[in-house]
Amino acid sequence: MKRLGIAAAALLLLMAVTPAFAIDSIKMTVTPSELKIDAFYDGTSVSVSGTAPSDSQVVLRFLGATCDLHMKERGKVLGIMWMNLDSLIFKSVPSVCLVSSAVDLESLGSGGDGSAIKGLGLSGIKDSARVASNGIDRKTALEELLRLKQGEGLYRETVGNVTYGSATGAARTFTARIPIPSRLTPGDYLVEAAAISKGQIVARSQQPVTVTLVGFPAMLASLAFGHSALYGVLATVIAILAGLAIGLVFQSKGAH
Amino acid sequence: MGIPLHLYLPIAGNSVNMLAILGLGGAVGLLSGIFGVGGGFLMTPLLIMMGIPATVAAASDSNQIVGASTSGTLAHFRLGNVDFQMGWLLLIGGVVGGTAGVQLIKLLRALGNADFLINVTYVIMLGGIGGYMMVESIQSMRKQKIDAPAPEPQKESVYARLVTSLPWQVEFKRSGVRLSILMPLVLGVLVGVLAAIMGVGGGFIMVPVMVYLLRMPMHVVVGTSLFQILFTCINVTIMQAWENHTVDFILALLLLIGSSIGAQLGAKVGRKLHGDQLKVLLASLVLIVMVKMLYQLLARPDVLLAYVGGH
Repeated sequence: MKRLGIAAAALLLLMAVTPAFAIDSIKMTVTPSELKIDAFYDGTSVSVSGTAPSDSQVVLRFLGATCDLHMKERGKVLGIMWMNLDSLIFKSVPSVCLVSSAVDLESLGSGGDGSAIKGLGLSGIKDSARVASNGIDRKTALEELLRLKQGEGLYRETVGNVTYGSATGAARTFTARIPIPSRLTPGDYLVEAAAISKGQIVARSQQPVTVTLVGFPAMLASLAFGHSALYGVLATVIAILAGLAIGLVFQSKGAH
Repeated sequence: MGIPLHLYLPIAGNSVNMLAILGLGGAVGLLSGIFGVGGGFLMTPLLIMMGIPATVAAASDSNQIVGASTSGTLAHFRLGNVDFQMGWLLLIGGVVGGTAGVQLIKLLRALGNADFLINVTYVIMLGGIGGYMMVESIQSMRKQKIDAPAPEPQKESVYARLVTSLPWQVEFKRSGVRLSILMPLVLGVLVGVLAAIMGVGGGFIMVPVMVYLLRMPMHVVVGTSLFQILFTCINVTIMQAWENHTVDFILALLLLIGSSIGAQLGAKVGRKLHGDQLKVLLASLVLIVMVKMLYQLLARPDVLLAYVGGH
């Protein structure tokens, strides 16, 4: 906590000293700014390009909205059997967190404020997220959450997918392609960029990305959530008709 | 790329490979057609492995069982294997038992450690049913080999005397048994309670009940069980879609296409097998599931967290 406090103070100080530089010196465009999920969506990618201070490294994060996650902790009963035990809540954790950089975050942090840089990565979630639990300790709970989310492809650190162009004066161009997983729900997302120089975050920038359902999935979702009883009845009726149809097809093939 | 192989499932919030889902549906449908079980206990864990949230997997599977059991019931009906009279009575009992079971589980949860009780009940039930069926049908197969026609001397068991002494005896023509209508009603209630507690359709409890307690012939059991499962799953699908928004129709439809075809083939495969062979196979399946459950209970899970509403 102490380290975090120092980091926050350092960040505040930095922002107070160089406000204009810090905000303006990283520029980026994100394409597309709207991701459409149609019936055949199977993951996609977002291209980011822009300029950053020439002596800096860029760390990009694709972030989902933060939410409270209600989960159950698994533990042993009678010393042998694994069961779902106490409930626990992770407070304000991002639904998605995809971190991209040219080199790994550990090396970026050296020579400066390592914890602020580390905070950009997945371990940042481990440091900042709050956990309401009666049993499992906070550290283990967050480590398990990270493992779960990484397994689902929703939390990821990718090294090497940010590339730099030639420097022109104080700035140089960067491009990146962030792979977006297939397990994506509609909503508001954010691409966040941070420029790091000599172990310090020297500039930040962010661009919104919206994810929407289109076509058949959109129609189905609006029916399922807006008219749920009708949806349930329709799903059942269509299933019965399909079952009958397949049964009749088999009969007409002359099984007897 | 030619034909897109992936489809996005809007309720599950993930995309899946169409061929994998069709194949999975086909395999489980085959088992369903042969044994008259819904197959939920196999399908749901496999869907979770494919990245579908547990609640969506279970609810969409119910939706697909509606279609598969329609197709299966139709196939068995044509073969003369559905005892509607018995099916309705079991169903009425099942609905009453299911409703009571849901209340009971609420009570158990309030008392705490309900999950423990459920899991242990599950393993004991599966082990008991599977083990008994296995031993009984292997013995019966051996007997037939040794002296085929010799009718075993019928000794009146307490159970048999109880069955014949109950009031309202009715002839169930399709099954060829004479029973009190109380029998299927009460057993339906018991299976309904168990199924609700375990959160399953109850096919693999109902089948042994029909075979051993109602003394129905195995082939009629399968058809009648599918008929009964059809209605149970209609109820579950509508309730899940309405209250929890967890039915993914696209997923269900893909599974359904696979499983309906599988169920049709299954009904034909089942016809070719002897009743005792069917029992041995079903017993093996039940025991495999039991071992899997036991393993899940004893082995350390990959992640020490679980989503609320999952298994």
